[in-house]
Amino acid sequence: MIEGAGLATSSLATLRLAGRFFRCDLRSAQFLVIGLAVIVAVASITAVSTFTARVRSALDEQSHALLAADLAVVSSEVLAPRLTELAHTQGLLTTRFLALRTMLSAGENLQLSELKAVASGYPLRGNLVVRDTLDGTDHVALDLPAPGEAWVDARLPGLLGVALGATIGIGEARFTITRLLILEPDRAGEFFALAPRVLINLESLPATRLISPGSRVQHSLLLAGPRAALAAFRNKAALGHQARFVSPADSRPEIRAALTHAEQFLGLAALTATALAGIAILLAARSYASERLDTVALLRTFGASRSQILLLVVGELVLLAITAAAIGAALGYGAQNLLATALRGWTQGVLPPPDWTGAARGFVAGVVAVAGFGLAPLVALRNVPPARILRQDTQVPGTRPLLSGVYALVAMVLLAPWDSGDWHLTGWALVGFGAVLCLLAGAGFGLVALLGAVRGQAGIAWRSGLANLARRKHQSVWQITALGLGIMALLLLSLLRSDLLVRWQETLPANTPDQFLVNIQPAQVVALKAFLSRHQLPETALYPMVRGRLVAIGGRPVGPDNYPDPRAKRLVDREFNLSWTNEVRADNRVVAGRFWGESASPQFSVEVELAKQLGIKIGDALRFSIADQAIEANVTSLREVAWDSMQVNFFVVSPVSLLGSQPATFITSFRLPPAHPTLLRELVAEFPNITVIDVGAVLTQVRGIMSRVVDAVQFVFLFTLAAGVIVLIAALRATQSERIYDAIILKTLGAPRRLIACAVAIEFAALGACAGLIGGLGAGFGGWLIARKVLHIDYTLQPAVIGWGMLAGLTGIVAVGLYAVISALREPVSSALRKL
Amino acid sequence: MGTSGSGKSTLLALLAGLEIPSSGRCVLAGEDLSQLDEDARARVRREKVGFVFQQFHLLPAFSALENVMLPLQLAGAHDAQTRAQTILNTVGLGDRWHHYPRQLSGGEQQRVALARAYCTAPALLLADEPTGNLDATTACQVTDLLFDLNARQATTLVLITHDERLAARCARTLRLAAGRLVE
Repeated sequence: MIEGAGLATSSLATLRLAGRFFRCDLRSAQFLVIGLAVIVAVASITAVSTFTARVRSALDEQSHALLAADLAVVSSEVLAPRLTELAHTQGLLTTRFLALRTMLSAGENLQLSELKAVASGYPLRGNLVVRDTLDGTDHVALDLPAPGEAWVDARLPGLLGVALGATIGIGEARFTITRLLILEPDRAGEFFALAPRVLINLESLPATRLISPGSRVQHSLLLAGPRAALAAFRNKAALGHQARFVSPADSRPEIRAALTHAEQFLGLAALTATALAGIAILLAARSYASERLDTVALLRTFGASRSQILLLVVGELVLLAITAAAIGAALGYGAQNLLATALRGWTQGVLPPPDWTGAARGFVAGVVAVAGFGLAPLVALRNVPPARILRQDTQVPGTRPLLSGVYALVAMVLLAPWDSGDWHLTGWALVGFGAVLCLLAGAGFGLVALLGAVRGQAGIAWRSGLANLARRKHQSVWQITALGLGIMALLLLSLLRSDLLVRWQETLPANTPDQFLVNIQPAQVVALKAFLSRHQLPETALYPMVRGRLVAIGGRPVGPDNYPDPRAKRLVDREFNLSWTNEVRADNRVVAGRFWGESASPQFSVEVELAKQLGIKIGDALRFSIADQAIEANVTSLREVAWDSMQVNFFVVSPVSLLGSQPATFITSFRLPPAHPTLLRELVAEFPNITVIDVGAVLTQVRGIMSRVVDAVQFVFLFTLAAGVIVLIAALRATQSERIYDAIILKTLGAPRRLIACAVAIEFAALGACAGLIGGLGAGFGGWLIARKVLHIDYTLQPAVIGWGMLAGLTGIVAVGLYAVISALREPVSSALRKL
Repeated sequence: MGTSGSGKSTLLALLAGLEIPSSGRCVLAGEDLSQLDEDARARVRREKVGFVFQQFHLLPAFSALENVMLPLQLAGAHDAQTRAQTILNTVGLGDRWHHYPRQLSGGEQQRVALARAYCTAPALLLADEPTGNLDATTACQVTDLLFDLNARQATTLVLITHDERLAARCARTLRLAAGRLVE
């Protein structure tokens, strides 16, 4: 007899046995399908999380350049020298500048300008780009204007009617224009405060005598250095009321919006790939478990306890998960490098090197996917009755579908990319995926029942084919569900490529405005329209703009002190640009409440993100102070605004009845024709009070990101495609051996090959058509989700998608299914029977 | 012995604790199987029972040696490989350790199955039609080996068969009909 072996020894031996089974099962097709599905899921998660982390990190670096520093302290009062001392004790680099609006003079000509007086060391991050002559080339400045020199905005010589080398007056001092200032890193974020820039040395500022008590001057202290030192500085700085920190996150909302779209898109693609891979794992694990029934029954006969069986299957599954996840992580890591190489230029400059956190995350996700989707059918193996070894008809307790569903749901929730920037979208995607699954399963049951009912009225091939579907009821439902999902993934990919991404790019068409005109007086509206028309510019809308300060929400006075969040503080602290309108613009979408129509009573519609920041809800009364007059009305709707459409937009709008009588200026935007370089100069000459804001560079960058997002999404969707194909393989393999068995038996009994093939074709055609129909509907839903929730574009379900789904399902599945069965039928009956 | 459907396999399943009787008791080596749970019955099988099947039931992806080691490994035996090699030598397959079932003839496969059944030195060996899938000559060789090992290990052998000649070699023959012992 066996000596009494300890539990630990026995467990170790069982685990060794699991290792042996693992090596053997590498030859099992179903086992390999599980492995492949894990590899695809892990590779997709690794690639997406590593790549997006690199892009995010690059963007952070760039946004530091957009601030000219890692952190800035901005104040309307002189900054205490102790702040600079504190920064130095923390080991931070510092520099400072003063900015103010002032008039420049050149002879008789005067021009309002934004004067910036910078100290040595400016900028701490990013570069100043200058031009030495009017038609010279742009280059990075390695120095700063010397005392007595001024570098000016390229528009300024035209506005003042002077040339490079001319002398201009700033306050009481005279300066020589020595260079044209093309780009200063911290300029891009200030679209709405733009008069032409003049850059001088801080040492020259006293001579201008512009700074006196009461002057409106912005004092900035720029800081750069290690993150910990910056954090320590923030903690110890104790700023007064007038001063605030500005961090890189506050810059460039349009570019951030485009990148958020990218992250959402990639996250969604990875989620779809993971969900599909999960279904493939579940299908393959079910088939694999059913293949293993006899082996487990044998082991039970030899005295294996249920816990030993559990240890054996879990051990084997863990080995598979670890191996496949490691391969997937390595592949994903390689893929993201490919992605980074292919999409070079996504961000300005070089992407930071990848780290291993994405791969680690992918690896953990692989193990979670195997546990969530694959464990339930295999764990059920421990209940295989040993008597099955003697009698094949012994009933085997199957997996409880509810339990499988709960495991899978938990896995999906754990695997979902909640950090992709929008948990709302992730939630929608999960709900949508679940709904498509339920729809597919429900349709599967319906189809099987329907076909079972009609089969008696059909010919023998139809009867046999449809009977097979009804006989394998549960498997048929599984197959329809899985095939439908696979088809959905393939259709969604083609929908993305051919329609959605193209339409997204069209949201920034070639004629997207790149020039904004602000401060247009009501009396200038007609003249300005005439000017634009005279220069063959398309007619453009002029939007009224009323400046107002938010003073109360729901009757409670509000001020910066009411909000801990720095952005909310700033929003409340500054004047809002309010406008009136009677219609919801195309790039706005009402997400809560109702928008008014013509001749509406006084009310407000608020941009949803602003509402969140300031805690504004539908029904709240907002009070604005406009030119010392209080205006109050309730909020009746919240709008989502596509800021990256580059169109004029407003945080708060009202019907004309509320703001129409307030003092307003107008704002408009247009596309500057490349062949019209002097147009701006002529415009400013004719309308000297109008401020022109050039956003061409930002537009180019947003376009660049969009185009690369399209490439990236197509690349990442290849994982989804792979996962979809694996699901199809897993679904078709699930009943392949049974079909081959049936076909050989029928052939043995004398059925002609054509009849058998016909029956199989009918069975697969019914499966494929149903899966294709539901897959097409699922793809339609996926398309709607991406269009409305990610891209914010309109979407109409195209019936052709469903048609293509059915056609693809029919032809593809019939072809693959027939191939396997016909191959088996080609063999002589005797040899085929021996293989059964 | 008994005709198809007479209850032979059910009896075998009850004797091994693979199933429990709906009424009555089944006692094996002093243990009432009907009072034990699944895992306790599995322990009894692991410690006291060996099996030989008509279909051999070898794992196709395991070599002959690995198939024989299987019950020993499940029992946590330290010397599984040595013991499996020894018994494979005993059944005349010393040169076939690393062959897979598909590389072995039917007779050789059943010899591997015999080695697997005897390697744990069970007190009771249950054989279900052990020669049912073999030709007459091979069946004869396998039967000789079965009884030889049985004698060497002093095992109690319960054998189910249709073969009268095989039944005649047993110490006692019982016949089943419609689930009842008739002689």
